[in-house]
Amino acid sequence: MSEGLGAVDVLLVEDDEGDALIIREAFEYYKIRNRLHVVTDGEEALHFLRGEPPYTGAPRPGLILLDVNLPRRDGLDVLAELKRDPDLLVLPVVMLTSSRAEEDILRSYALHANAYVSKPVDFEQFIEAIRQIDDFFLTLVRLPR
Amino acid sequence: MTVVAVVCAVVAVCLAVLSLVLTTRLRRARAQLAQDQSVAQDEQSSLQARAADLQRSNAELEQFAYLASHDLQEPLRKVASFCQLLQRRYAGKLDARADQYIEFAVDGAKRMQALINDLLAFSRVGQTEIQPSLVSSDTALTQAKANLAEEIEKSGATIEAGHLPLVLAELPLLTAVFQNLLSNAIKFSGPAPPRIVVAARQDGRQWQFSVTDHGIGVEPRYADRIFVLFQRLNERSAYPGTGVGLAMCRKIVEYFGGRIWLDTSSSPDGTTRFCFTLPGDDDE
Repeated sequence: MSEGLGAVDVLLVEDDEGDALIIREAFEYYKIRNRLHVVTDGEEALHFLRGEPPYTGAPRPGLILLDVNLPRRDGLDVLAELKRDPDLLVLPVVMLTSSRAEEDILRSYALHANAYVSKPVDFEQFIEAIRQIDDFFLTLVRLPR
Repeated sequence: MTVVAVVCAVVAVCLAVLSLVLTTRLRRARAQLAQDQSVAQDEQSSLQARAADLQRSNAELEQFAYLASHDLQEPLRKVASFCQLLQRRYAGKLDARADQYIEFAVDGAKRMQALINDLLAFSRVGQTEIQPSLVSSDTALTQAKANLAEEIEKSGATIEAGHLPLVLAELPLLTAVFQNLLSNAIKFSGPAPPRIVVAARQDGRQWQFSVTDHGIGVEPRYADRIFVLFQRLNERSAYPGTGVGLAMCRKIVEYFGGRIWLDTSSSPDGTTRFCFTLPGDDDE
């Protein structure tokens, strides 16, 4: 944001409406200008990313926030699929999840997740975490165009 | 001759009767013994069955505590988060009464989160596959102090420690014991900056640790009660806490085969001394 390059699209894959709302509120609270798109399961996420109906013309996100526990195709499955797709594998993926299981963490990194973040239990810390993720991936680091 | 014969006959009859009586008694005694033995066996097997029952119900209870605290976390996080959001967005925009409702809701949710977190930590003690190994109690104390850095600085506490040994335990759990005891010593210090002394002395194969402070003290009659889960002796407003700390310490210390107690011999002048034992290095 600070570079004035305009807003980036962020795709949140999250089936929990409450958490999606908290993340939306965090964007608003910290005046994050990036656009947040929310889909609620893995299938939808892949349709969105490939611009398939009903997401024809969906923007290509600069960052994907991916929950591990999702209905139908879970987050790890979606992650594996993304990293197999030569067009999508360059997109940074942050696993953002309430799972603290070591196994999920290990599997995420083994599947080339860019980061694994446990949703903090504390609300203030949660929205701060969202701000930091946004700040790091969309302001600090350089990403492929 | 006849007299002799009669006497012999009488003696023989007497002996026969006596032997009959004795045999009968012996048989009865044997029967009794057999019965006693079978009763004893029954008692033993019923004792074993009860011990197994107890063990199972304990395990179930632990499992329940773990699942309850784990599964309650998620919905509670929602309640707490949205109460906080409500507060953040609408505090001062409704009326004074609404502000107070929200404040109570936020406070209640936060307290319940603290309780559930502590309960979860409590129920996790001993749930791992990790075998106790020799760990440095000095390192555990250092970590505990680092975790309490803020409280230590705020209260101006001084913590003195002598030589601390290697003991058979797990580092995170031993750290939790020190952290709980130090945090209590700081919390219940009274107006003066807390002075805390941590010491250890060898007692056979065991090490006996002590954590001593000069705060508000604990009345000796509460020496046992303070180790019970959720037991608190003070007003929550004056001394916040969940009542899990000492119960957790006891669970950890006993898990490693030691014991923990409040040393009531040194209480009169407001000195509080907690002692606990842990097994040391067998080869030492």
